[in-house]
Amino acid sequence: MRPGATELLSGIKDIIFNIFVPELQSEQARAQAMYSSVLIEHLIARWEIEMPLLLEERAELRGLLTQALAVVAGDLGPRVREALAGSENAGGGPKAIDAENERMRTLVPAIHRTLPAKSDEPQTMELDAAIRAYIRNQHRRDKAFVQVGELTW
Amino acid sequence: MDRDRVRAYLAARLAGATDIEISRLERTGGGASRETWLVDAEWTEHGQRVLKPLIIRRDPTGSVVETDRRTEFEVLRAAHQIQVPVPRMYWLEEDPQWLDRPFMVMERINGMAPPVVLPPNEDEATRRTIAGEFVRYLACIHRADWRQLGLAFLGAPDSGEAAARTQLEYWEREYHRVKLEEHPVLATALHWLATHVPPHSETVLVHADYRAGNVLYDSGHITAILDWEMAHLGDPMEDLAWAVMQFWTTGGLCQGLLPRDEMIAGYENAGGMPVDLERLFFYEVLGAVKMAVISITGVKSFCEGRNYEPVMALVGFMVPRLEADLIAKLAI
Repeated sequence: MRPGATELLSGIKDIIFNIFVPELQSEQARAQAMYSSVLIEHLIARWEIEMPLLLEERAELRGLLTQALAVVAGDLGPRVREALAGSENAGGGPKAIDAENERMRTLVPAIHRTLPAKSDEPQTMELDAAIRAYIRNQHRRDKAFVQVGELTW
Repeated sequence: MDRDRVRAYLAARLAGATDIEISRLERTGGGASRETWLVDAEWTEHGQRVLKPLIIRRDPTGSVVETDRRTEFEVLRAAHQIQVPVPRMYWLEEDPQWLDRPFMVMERINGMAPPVVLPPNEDEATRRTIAGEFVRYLACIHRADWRQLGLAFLGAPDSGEAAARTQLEYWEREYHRVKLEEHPVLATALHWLATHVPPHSETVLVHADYRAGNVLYDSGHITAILDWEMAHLGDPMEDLAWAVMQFWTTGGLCQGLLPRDEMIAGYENAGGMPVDLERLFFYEVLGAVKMAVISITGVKSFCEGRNYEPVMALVGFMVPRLEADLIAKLAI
């Protein structure tokens, strides 16, 4: 149904610039209006990429945690199983998917810390490599959110 | 914040002053920690009209850094005795009856602050002069006798690993307190830091946010060093690492001022403490984590509705940049 979400956001941005800003007296208020417009621009671009990136992360985390089950010991095993079970049927919008990803994400540092600093054991080495790859990929995904909407620092 | 309330405060503080007027009260942009207000006040004292440009720094409703304002006030008062340019502090007010939230009143010094680093279009002569003053003032801060300045109350770390461990534990605690989601890069960096804590031998006054964005400059010279709210006693490499960190580097120039090697050499040649590259690396890693935690603190206040200023959302977008530096440094 039109106008769609991004068209509405564009309209709000135009309202800010064409109606609000000309009425603003102070430098502070104009600065806040400019920042708000930047956030809206970001949101318009983020709208398209958010769900695919969350689903990509979910798939990678599920693979990583499944791999970790063969290596981790102690109470981490049940926690990993529980997180995997929770994400299996996770549906809904971005917020719900992100919440399930976060349940899995929080286990990654704990799993990584249990691995010995140096190991010749193939499963351990592969898990360490998979964790490092996930960390780099997650950073790439986060960067994608930041770089849309012409955000520069 | 309005003129009447500011006038009432000055009347309470300035014994003998009459006909107090506030001709200017204006909030400046910039600064994600405390609000900065420009105040032009004038009054009659001993038959003479006094005109005083002031700054009021007021706590916001939610901030990127939760710090002890009394510590900042006392450090700034002490720093005035070192040969570095800092504003004269007048009053620290913690009673909310005056302006709703605690605030400090200080002299206003002429000058402009670069938005983050010195702009690339600044002329070469100015850049060189400011760069020289930047490293010289940092060396002065580190060589200052903090005991004689009455700053022992800040708590000097014991020798050995205490300085590094204290800072690491603080920022790790803050990370767990403010994080809204897991950051695997930051978690990995914290683990690396915990297993590479360096010992140190010289305890100095550490500014802890010494960068070009926290100085004022005018007519080609630094006129003030600001934002001492995170100051403490510790390892001088912490300040130098912050200054040369990748995050504050643009166009190959740290702080928009000098290439990294020249910044480090300049600090040593200006009388700074001996540079230890291993400790410097540790504090660069810690610095990236610290800046990420500071950013996340701002995001938290935005997400929780305590501070709705859009800049608090935007600071979160700096985290991936910091993580890129950590990924490279730690070969993740």
